[in-house]
This record gives sequence, C-alpha cells and structure tokens, in this order.
Amino acid sequence: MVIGQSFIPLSIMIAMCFYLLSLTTSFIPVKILPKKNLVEYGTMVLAFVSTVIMMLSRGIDTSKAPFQTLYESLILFSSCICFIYLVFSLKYKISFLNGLVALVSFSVLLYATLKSDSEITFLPPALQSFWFVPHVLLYFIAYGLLTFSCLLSMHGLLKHIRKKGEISVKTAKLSYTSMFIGLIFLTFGLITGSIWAQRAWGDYWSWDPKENWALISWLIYLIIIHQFKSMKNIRKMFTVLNIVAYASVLFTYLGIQTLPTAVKSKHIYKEALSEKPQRKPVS
Amino acid sequence: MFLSWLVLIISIFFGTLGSLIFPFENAGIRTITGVILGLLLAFINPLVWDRLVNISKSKKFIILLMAISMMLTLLGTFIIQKATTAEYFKIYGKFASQILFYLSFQDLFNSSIFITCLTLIGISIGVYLVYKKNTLSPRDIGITLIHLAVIFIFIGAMVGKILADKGVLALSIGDVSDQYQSQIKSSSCNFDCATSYLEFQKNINKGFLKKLPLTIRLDQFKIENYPTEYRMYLLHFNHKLKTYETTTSWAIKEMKKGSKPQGTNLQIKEITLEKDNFYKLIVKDIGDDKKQKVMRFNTENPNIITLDQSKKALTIAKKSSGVKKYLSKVTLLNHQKNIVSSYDILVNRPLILGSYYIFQSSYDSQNKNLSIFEIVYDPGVVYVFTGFFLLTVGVLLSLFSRVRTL
Repeated sequence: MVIGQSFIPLSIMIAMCFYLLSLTTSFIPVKILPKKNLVEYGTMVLAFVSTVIMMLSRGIDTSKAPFQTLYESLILFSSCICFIYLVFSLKYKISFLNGLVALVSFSVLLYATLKSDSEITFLPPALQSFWFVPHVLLYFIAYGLLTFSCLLSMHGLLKHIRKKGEISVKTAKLSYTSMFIGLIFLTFGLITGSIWAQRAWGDYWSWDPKENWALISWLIYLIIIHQFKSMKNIRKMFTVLNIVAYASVLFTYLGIQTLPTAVKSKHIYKEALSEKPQRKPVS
Repeated sequence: MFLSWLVLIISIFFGTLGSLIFPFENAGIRTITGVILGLLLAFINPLVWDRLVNISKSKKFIILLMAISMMLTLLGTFIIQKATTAEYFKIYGKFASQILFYLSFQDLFNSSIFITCLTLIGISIGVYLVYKKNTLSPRDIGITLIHLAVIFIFIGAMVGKILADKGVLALSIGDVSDQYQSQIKSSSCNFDCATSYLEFQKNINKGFLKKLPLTIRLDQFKIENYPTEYRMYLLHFNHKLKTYETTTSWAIKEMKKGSKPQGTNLQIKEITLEKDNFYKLIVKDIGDDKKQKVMRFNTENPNIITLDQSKKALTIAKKSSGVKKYLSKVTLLNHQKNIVSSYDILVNRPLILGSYYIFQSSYDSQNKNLSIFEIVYDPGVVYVFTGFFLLTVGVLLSLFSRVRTL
C-alpha cells in the first residue's frame, strides 16, 4: 500500500488497525462487552508491539537506531505515548483515557505515513555519536509523558466544563506526576544534547531555534512547578497551564520549520524530496 | 513587586551603561561588570540591603527573570540573528531595523538585556541558597543541588564568555603547526563548504596567531563515503520548458515485489540488476491495458522510458549517499619535536588538549590533502559539565526526597 510518497510497512498498518480497534472498543458499553478493559488494553499492547517490531526491523536493516528522520521519530513518538499509557495503566485505573490515547497514537502514525522522508537514509558523521540514542530516547520519553499528562488535563478540563464541577483530585494528581517525571526526562534530554553538541561542534549551546524552543518549553514547565502552589483554584489553573505548556512542546517538535530563523538550524528534519528537481533533456 | 522591578531596572541600566563605557574588549564582560556594579550600588545603602536581599532570593523575582529570559529567547527565534544590515533593511524596513540595532536585538543572545537577565538569575539563585535554611537536610539536598548546578552552569557560561576563543587550523598532509588563527567565526562552516577556510585564507595576515599547548602534525586525511545507491525517478513532462522534471523518487532497494510506485499505474513484478549495468524491471500495468511490460534501464548512462502518452517517464540513476566519515590522523609533538602521542580526529571525537578542543571542521574540495580543524578554547566547559553532573544528581535525589503534589 502506498500513501503519500512512501511504502507503508505492514507492521505500521497493523498498529494503526489496533489503535482504531482500541478506539472503537472505548465507545462500546460494558454491558455489551463485559471484558471491555481487557480488550482495550490488549489492543493497545498489540499496537505498541507492532510499532516496536517495525522499529526493530528498520534498525536491523540499517544497522542504526531508527530515530533519524521525522517519519522515524513520529513512529517513536507514537510508541512512547502508548508505552507511557500502558505503564500508568498497570498502577492506576485510567481506562477512561484509552480512547484519547488510541486516537492520538493513531493520528501520529497516520501523519508519519504522509511524510515523504520515510526512505532509509545513511547516518551523517555528526549523528554518529554515542549520545544520539540516549538524547533522542530521553526526549521522546519526555514527550510521551508530557503528552499523557496533557491528555489527562484535557480530559479533566472537558469533564469540568461539561459537568461544571471541580476537576477530580485523581486526574490532577496523575497529570502532575506524569508532568513532573516528563520534566525530569526533558532535563536529562537537554543535558545529553548539550554534551553531544559540545563534542560535535564545540559549543554546548549555540542558540539554535530548536535549542531555544527546547529551553522555552523547559522554562515554562519549570515556572509551573515553582508557581502552582501559590495559585488560586490550584487544580483548574494547573490543568489549563499544563495544556498551554504542552503547546510549546508540540511547537518545539513540529513547528520549528515555520520560524524565519529555522533556515540555519542544525535540528530541522529534512524531507527527502525537498531536493531540487532534476531536469533531464528530452531524449 | 515594585522593588523587584527597581532592582531589575538598576541592573539593566548599569549593565547597558557598562556595555557602552567599560574599556574591556569583550561585550559580555562589559555587561556582566556593569550588572554587578549596578547591584552593588543598589545594595550599598544599608537601609534597603535587607529588603533587596529578600527580593533577590524571592521566588517571584526569579520567576519574573525566568519569564523575561523566556520571552527574549522566544523573540530571538522570530528575529533573524546576526544578518547583514542590508538584509535587516530588506526584511524589516529601515525604521524597525534601527530599533532592533538600538536594542542589540540583531544579536539578541549577546545583548546587554539578555546577559543582564541571565546574570541576575545566577545571582538571585546564589542569594537564595546562601539565605536558605536546611539546604543540606535529606529532604532538601536534591533541590539545593539543582540550584547549585544552575549557578555552576552560569559560572561556566560567564567564564566561557570572558575567556573562550575560537579559531581555525588548516593542515595539509605532512604539515606541522603549533599555532592557530584566532577569533575567526566558524559558525557558518559545515562539511559541504569551506567557508571557514576561505575566511582563514582571507584573514591570515589580519588576525593574530595563537599558540597551542602541543605541536600537531597531520599524517593522513581521509574522506570515506557510503556506497552509491540507485534510485528510480518518476519524471513529468514540462511542456513550456520541453524537459522532463522529477516529481518523486524511490530507493531501488526499497522497491519490493508487489509494490506500486505512486503516480504510476504500475505494479512491480520483478526488479533485478543485470551484469551489463542494466536494471531489468518487469511490471504489470494495472491501469487500462493490464499488460505486463519489461523495461531495461542503463545505470551508467541513464535512459528515460516514457509512460502514458509520454507525459510521464521513468529512469534509474545513481545517487551519492553522502559522506560516512572524515578522518584526520594526527601526531602530537612537544616543543622539542619529540612524539608525545597520535590520535584519530573524527566528527564527534575531538582531540582534547587541556581546555583546547580540536574538531574536524571542514576540508577543501579542490585539495583533498587539506584538513581543516576548528580550535575551541573554553575553560568554562568544566564548570558547565560539573553543573550538569550536579543537576543530574539533584534531580534524581529530589525524586526521592521532596515530591510536590497537588
């Protein structure tokens, strides 16, 4: 099957199907499907396994970690969101979030399949670093945690708007916990990125637009952590701020290309077909 | 809140004044000295001392500074940095450009206001730590280390700002040198260009040479490429220009049996590389005629095979996969010209001589024996990395010692 300009691996199609199945299941009442939670969780596990298989096979094919292109990073992003949800589900009863997580993970995979940089490319010398894998992994685990936290906040806020009640303590606490751990991973991501940049280019910080936005999102979360206790209506304020902060994370990941300063950035994902078209004379 | 603003304004005022009048060469040093002087003058009155200390260590003041720094950083991602005056006039117009120049926002991250904010954050966190109680209690040690880490990072950045140097060293195979060309901007240099080297040549007599701790001899310079790959290109006929233009392409190795290259009505049945540099492609037309076709593409002298009424065509051509490795084998000699050691400099594997970092930076496409190195001297790195270490430990400890909850 071909969508956009790429060939879609079977495992990605299977993962997308499982996400859709999980999403559909979340709408079915427990009366009709008594083991609804188990089916939801099972399909999410299968979707996660499918994306991991895809990444592993791509990694084996190319003998490198499949984190280089936007296409690859989106698949990793979707896996991380799903993984974080599955881990939190083991301890907390959050099946109410299943549909939302499945929808987001499915959308991320769909977006990946529409990207034109799915072809396997060789690793340039600057990316051949020990720090490449830990830096990317730490960041995407952070993105997964912050996405999960934002989804919880969105769920809480929607419920609050609909029922005009207080945002539940459980939702707010869980959202805060995942945000706090996400911030820790963001910090480690920043540290590993700085060390890598120092080893590759001599500057641990070069005020590149991507670096700047990573710093901005880190500072936003830091300000929330420092300030939320002194806020009135603490849970509602935290929920709103958490959603706003997440917008900065999304922009750091996907929006940098739109900035006027992005042209000189070393961190921009280059789409394979952005090369100038080749002209061939009529033979 | 009023006094927070007062401290900030005094510091910014003296920071800006310092950046204009102090006789130091480095703008960063001028600003930092100005800020410190501003704060000292603000603190000198014993009547306001306690209150100003209270403000400096207050969470609100630090948050305010963080918010300002964040807004300035955000602005720096929207305003093009370090462009030429002509470019600013063209993009923003003369009036807006003059405002940018007045505020030094064309180089925002080195501007007085930005450096002042960062310096104040560092000082405020320092004051907070000095006056904070129970900093070493098991409950608070993590948080203390995190704040201490930030101070270390700021100190490292300041030391770097004041003492760091950058330069270029270009060596041909067999060349020996213990000097480099100092203070040449190398940010524009990458592996596809030799900008830095061109600047090096241009400025060789203008700049000044600085000594390295050891002498370097280049023994070997090698550029290793990835194997060449073949790609199939889908071409579209441009009637105006009377040429075929590429609309999309696929790596041959990814074209599997049964796949359908998008934009065509073809389904691949077989694709094989023959001995005489030809790719044989067997396809099934899944459009109107449903026939099976055999196409042969010359890889050495690419030919075009037209599809539906010659509007579209296919070709297979070589595509360079890029550079795999840049390797400079160097020998280090002491001042008596005795061999000390040898080292392989690669991207991501600089040669470290004390606070000197020697990076593989570029090469000359005309002279493949010439390797170009970037020399970075930054004694602040050690403080920054100590800060990173403290930050890591602090964050991990804070996980167990003090988790805030809603």
